[in-house]
Amino acid sequence: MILYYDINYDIILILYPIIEIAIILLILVMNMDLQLASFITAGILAIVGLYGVFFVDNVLKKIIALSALGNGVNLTLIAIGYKAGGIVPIKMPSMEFTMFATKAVYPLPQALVLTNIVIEASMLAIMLALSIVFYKKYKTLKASIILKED
Amino acid sequence: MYLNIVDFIVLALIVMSYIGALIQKDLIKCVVLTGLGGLGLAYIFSSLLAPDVALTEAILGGAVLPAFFAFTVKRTQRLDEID
Repeated sequence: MILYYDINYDIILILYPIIEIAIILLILVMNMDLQLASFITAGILAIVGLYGVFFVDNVLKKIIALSALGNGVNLTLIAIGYKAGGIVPIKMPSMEFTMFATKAVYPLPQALVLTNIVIEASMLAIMLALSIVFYKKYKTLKASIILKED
Repeated sequence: MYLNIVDFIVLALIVMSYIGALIQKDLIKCVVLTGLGGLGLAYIFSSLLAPDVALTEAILGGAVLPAFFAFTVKRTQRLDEID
C-alpha cells in the first residue's frame, strides 16, 4: 500500500528563511539582559514618540506621543546606571562602606530622572490647558486646521 | 543574568500600549492605554533597582496624567475624526 502526500514544496522553501530568522530572534531574546532589553524598549518608545509628534493630526495624540518620548528618555537614563546583581543605593547603618560602594547601582541618573518626571508632568498639564483653549477658539482638535495661517 | 519572563512581558506591554494609544479612534481608550504604559514603566523602574523613581512614576504616570487627559477629553471632544 502506497500513500501519497500532496506537499507543496514551494511553500516550505518560502517559509524556511522566515523560520530561520524567527529562531535567531528567539535565541537573541533568550540571551538578552534586562539592561539591553530596556535600551531596546526605550529606543522603540522614542521612535514612536517622534513619529506621533510629527505625523499624527490630533493635538491630544501629539501630547500622548510627547509623553512616550519623555518616558523613553527616562528609561534610557535609568538603564545606564543599572548593574546586574546590584543592590538599591540606600546605605543602611549596618552595611560596610566598601561592600556598599562595590555593589550599589549608580544613583545619579535616578535623582535626575526623579526631577525630570515632575517637570514633564507640569509641562504636559500646561499643554493640555492650551489644547482646551485651542478647542474653544477653533472648535476642533485637528492640528492641520489650528496651525493653518489665514 | 538572563531576562526575567515577567520583565519581558511588561516591556512588550509598554510598547504595545503606546503604539495602540496612537491608532485608536476613541480618545478615552488612548487615555487608558497611556495609564497602562505608565504603570508598566513603573514596574520596570522598580526592577531596575530605582524604587523612588518607580513610586513617582506610578503616581504621576499611572494616575495623575491620565486624569488630566480625561478632563481634557471631557472638556473637548471624545472622537478623533480621521479622514
